[in-house]
Amino acid sequence: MFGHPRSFKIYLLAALAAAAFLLALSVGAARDFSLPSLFGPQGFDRDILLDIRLPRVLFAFFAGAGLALTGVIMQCLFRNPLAEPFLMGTSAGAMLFAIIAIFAAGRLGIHFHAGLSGLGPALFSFIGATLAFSVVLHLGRSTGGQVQFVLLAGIAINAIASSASGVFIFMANDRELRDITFWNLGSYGAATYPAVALAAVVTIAAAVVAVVMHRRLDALLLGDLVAFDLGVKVKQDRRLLFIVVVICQGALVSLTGMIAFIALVAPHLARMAVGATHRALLPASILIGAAISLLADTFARKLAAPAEIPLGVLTGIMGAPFFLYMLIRHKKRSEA
Amino acid sequence: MKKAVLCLLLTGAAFATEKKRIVSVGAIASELVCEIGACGDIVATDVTSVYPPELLKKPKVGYVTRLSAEGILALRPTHMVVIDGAGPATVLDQLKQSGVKIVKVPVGIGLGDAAKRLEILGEFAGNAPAAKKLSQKMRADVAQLSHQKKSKRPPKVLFIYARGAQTLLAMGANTTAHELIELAGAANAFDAEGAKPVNAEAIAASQADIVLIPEGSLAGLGGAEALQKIPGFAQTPAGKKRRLVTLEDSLLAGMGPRTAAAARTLRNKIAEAMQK
Amino acid sequence: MRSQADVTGANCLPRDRESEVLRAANIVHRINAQLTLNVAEFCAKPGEFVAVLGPNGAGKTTLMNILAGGLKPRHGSVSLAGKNLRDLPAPELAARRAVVRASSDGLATGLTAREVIELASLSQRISPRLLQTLTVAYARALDLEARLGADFTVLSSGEKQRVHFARALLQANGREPGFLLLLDEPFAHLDAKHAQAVTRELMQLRENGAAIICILHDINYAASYADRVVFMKRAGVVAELPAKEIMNRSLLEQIYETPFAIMRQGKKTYAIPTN
Repeated sequence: MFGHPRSFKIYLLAALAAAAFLLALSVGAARDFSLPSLFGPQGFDRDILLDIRLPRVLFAFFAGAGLALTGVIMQCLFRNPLAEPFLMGTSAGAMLFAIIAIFAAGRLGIHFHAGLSGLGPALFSFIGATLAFSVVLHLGRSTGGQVQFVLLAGIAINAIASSASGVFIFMANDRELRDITFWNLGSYGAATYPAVALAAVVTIAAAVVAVVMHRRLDALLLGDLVAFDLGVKVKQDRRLLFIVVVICQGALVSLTGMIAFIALVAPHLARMAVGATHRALLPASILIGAAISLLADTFARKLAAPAEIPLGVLTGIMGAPFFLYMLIRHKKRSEA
Repeated sequence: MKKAVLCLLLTGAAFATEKKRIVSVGAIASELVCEIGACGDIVATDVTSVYPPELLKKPKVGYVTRLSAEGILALRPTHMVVIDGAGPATVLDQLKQSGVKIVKVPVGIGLGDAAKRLEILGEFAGNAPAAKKLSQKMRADVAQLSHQKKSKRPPKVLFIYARGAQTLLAMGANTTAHELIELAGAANAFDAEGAKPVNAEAIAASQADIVLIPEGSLAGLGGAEALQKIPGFAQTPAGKKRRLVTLEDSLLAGMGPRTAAAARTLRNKIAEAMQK
Repeated sequence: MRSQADVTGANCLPRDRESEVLRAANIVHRINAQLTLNVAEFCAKPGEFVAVLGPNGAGKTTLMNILAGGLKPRHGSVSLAGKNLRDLPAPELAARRAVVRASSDGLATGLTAREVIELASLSQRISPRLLQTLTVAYARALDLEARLGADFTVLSSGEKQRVHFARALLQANGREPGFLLLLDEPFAHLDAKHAQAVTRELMQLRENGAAIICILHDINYAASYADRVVFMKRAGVVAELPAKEIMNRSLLEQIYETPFAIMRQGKKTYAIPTN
């Protein structure tokens, strides 16, 4: 039951996320601010804070929240704690189209950044993400729509997109290789205000849908049959959830490249803190995902200043040991 | 040669009185900024700017296409000299909005881009006329070389670049190395586009008369003896007659004022090697 | 309220449409290459306990899935309280009937037993307080109170089954008259004590006017507690009798294709398979 201890934990997580937000805002390559000086900055400080750091930190918040959210939904849809949006082919599709955009820019002189508030390359990448996902969903549906077929379709599309990417990588010159590598490692470098708006819109929309459906998400955990017995419109709800995942995760991965582990780890940490019912799991995951994202990005911006460490490296460092710990714990549990 | 560039441009340096803080992005951009004598004004470079060696000590702002706005602004630059394609574009926009003057430099290996580079940097240094003169001289020098008659059977030169012990790259058409070889009156033994990894068979198939290798790569491989041991090499005339010519690493970044002179040196070295 | 006089020999009464809970007609559905389910009619009335018996592979579970609304038959229609299932979306179905299936999926859900039971609230508008009270009450009745906080996946199969049963009871709570409960071998993993607890709840439901359709293997249980027994074999209904008439040796031997002995012990009759 959603009694006092659980609500308290959520407030605690909110405080943690807020603290991470302030930390991220205060710390950076240009200079570190003390908390009071964050308010009413002048001149150069103001430029740094408002033009560069604030959009970046807002973006980190929404990206982390959004990725965690898609992780929760995926783990519910696949009823598997190891599920994450990557399974649906969105990341592979986004990567392939990002690579195509990199090639087009260098070799054909087609630059996307000229229009669309700089979101051009991201939108092209997003087309790749949705394309890959639609194929996966269609393949999955035509074989019965059961979870394992969707999974297999995802694996197949990932393989195809990876191979196609591989061909481009083979043809790539030094610069293109670096760009592709950096895309794979992820970064919040594209955090302009339009990008923030896009990230915010998709994340908030996904959150609203998920929160409204939270009971049905719980029911889906018990299996499609039981969920139906309980009164869930299984086909429609699953379809809606898949669409929400692809739009949110596809948009985010197009803007950031591959950010490892947040989608996988945040829901797990949240589950350990507040349990599996989505009423608590959703806000907890969102807050934890945002906090991880903000912290990792702060390290990314600060540790190698004036250069930036790609974000995926840091989320990997933070996430991998936890992931191993989870696997070991899971193994022990199933042996017990 | 370098002194000539310096002198020509510094005569105009009196006009460029503002104290500049320069962030240079891109190997060729950094090299050229140093060539006009502004090396001391560089506060940071990107990771690909490794020549001249003093740049290695400067702070790094990341890779050419992955710059960090805040990191760069932290250095309070007045100017940025960047190569085409530096980015992300949003970061450059942010920097421009913050008042940093950004000068873009083309990266092509051809003569046209080389001349453009000189002119742009001349303007940057505050001495456009001198730069224009220099670039015209460069064009003339190179033109003179290209018009020289090529022998009926020019020696086949294979250019090898070693990236680490494992990967050997050969330079085909559309590379600086190719242009240099042609200007030196020889022929490129490697029939391909751009830089490509080569294996033993490809090396043997090239039947190169001479192997051309940058000094740094040769050192990295372990010297001339190590080069002899590379599979495929022994099957070429160059390997059999031990015809090895080296070149200064920095000449590979692109055409520049030193290119014509380098081509002449190369021509002589090739002729010498062919005596073997 | 149920009375002896209401139980009839025929499967469906033609004119009783309003008081019926469930009415299925002309169900045809291909189960596999060899079997096509064929059930002309199937009905259940309020306060009626219908047991569905028969050998393995007779199509009992398939029929139940169709009656539950989860499986659309090739031909035929099913109505729940006068409304065709096709016109009832999942949420409305859940407000009129509950299903307890034979086996649990054994998924790594992370939900506790309590949370599974409380999922009945998807189709029940009740306050969180009442939900909590009822959950504890049903858990206590089914000897689950100590296990409410446990992770559902670590429960034994018997406990999981009872959890689902409690959940179904919660779904039925407050609307028993005319509510339909579908059970697929609910006693499969239960020991005698817990089987009795479940039976008590079933009897209470029946008393309150719910209809129960229960797939069983225990002939004697059916004879003791059901009102009507429907025998299925090879994807069809082969017999349909009031419960107290099923202790017929030739009938049972024909259906199950194995010898039976009928024994009397005082007032009770038992059918026992023999060699």
